[in-house]
Amino acid sequence: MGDVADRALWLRAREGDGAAFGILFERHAGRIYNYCFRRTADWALAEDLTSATFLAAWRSLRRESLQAESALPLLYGIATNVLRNRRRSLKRGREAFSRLPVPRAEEPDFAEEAAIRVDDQASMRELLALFSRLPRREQDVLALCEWSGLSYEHTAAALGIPIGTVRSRLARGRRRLRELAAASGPEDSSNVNEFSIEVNDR
Amino acid sequence: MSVNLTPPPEREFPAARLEQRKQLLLSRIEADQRRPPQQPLYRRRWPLAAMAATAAAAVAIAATALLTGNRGGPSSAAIVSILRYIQPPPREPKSEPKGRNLTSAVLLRAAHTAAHHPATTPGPGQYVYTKSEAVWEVVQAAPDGPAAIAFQPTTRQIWIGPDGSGRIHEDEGHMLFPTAADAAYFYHAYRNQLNLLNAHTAEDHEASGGLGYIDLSKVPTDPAKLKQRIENRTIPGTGGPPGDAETFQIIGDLLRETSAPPAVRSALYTIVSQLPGVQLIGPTHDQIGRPGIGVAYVSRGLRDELIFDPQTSALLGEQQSVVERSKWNPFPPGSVIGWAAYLASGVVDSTSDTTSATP
Repeated sequence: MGDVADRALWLRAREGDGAAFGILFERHAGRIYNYCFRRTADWALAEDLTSATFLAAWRSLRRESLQAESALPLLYGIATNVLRNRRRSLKRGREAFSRLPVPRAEEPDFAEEAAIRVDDQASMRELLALFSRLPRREQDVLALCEWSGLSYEHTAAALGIPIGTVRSRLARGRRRLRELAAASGPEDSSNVNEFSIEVNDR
Repeated sequence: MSVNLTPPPEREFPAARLEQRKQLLLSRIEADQRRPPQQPLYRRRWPLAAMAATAAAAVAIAATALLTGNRGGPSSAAIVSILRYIQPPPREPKSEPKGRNLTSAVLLRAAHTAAHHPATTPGPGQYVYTKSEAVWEVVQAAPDGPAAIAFQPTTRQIWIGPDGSGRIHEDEGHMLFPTAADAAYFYHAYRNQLNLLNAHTAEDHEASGGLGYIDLSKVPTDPAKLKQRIENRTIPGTGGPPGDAETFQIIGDLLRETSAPPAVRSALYTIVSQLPGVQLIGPTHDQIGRPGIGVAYVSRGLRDELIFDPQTSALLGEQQSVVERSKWNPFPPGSVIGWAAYLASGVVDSTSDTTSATP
């Protein structure tokens, strides 16, 4: 079943075939995982959010028919909503997937990569400190087009906006991000180590 | 050299974890499918926060362990002792149709009050401020049941503007454990991140759109029309599976940490009063002892309760309790496994301003 197209798997999942949905998960979890990491700078949280995205996708099967060949744009769109809502509501925000047990140190793939991933988190936090100062709609477009490599068409589908809007937000977002980066010179860089946007209200 | 604008390279989803995650997802899906169709699509839990525990909690753990022994048998008394829970008196839901009528009468009085309460809609540059105190259940899930359970006390403040920008400030207390086995599990799992096991403060500032403001200034105030919008899941910022249990949850979402105009609140209460299966709890107290009127909805073995102030119709608090003990809820019926008390709310002029908030 590994080479069955997304659309066929989506239809089967819609009929209640959990295994078909499991294949969609295996196929796309990695992309959504990296997307969630780049939006949060936290690998463990990215795992939770990936699970939450697929659970939300399962629950939306009846509402969302898959028109495209790939389920990815739709999944990126759902992930964007999950990310947006994760801290919004006292109750809803906690309803995300429970965290799985932390990996044991003897798991080789984790032990080897642990140090690299800690570095990833530090540099991503630094980037997000700037990035988070953009309006959310520009963040979404930049993160999908530039960081996840989606086409304009797929970004438009993921966010439910016209392609022209994708282009204009992308241009605006790129420009603003460059300006923000230029404004945060070396003497300033100690202020952006923490992922905390104090700038907005100080 | 300024900040590098290229994110670090993509990494693999760790293979062993991918399989675990897949199994957990599939077991959730299977649980969804086994459920009778009139029930909601998922059991609502309030898990996932940073982990916290200290010596104080450890003392509580030891005391609790004496009372309860192993997992599977924590007594209500033990849970009450560690969480200062006020055990609700046994409640017999009023039988139909008398109970329904009584429920409706109480709620409609609240609806009337809401309609006459002054409006607080934030303008540009203003924020809806809400301060609450809460305790959350934190579940470390395994595919076949909870691996461990803890409770996280939190004092939370949120400022949210009409553009979705804002701030969340949370003071997380020490994590509390129902059994010694739960404590041991958490301490082991987080042995390399013990800093996360202390009481700490979480601070989150969000730019425009970051917090997904729910705009209730333009939704219909006619109860029938608003009900239609809620049931179709077409109010921006809400969603979810069909069914009355989810509708009850969404009505809660629209009342907590929002600035619902009085006429909308009035309509929401009217809708709750007409929702099949709503139970009247009647006069009750929230978890910090303030009197209010409770209404509840039971699904999947859990009772979700909203408690509101009959004088102002403000949402005072809410709580979730166990109705039916199960693998996922290994606590005696009546145990409160999560609650929130809303302490202050109002429209303020900045994300550091709490002054115009009214209790």
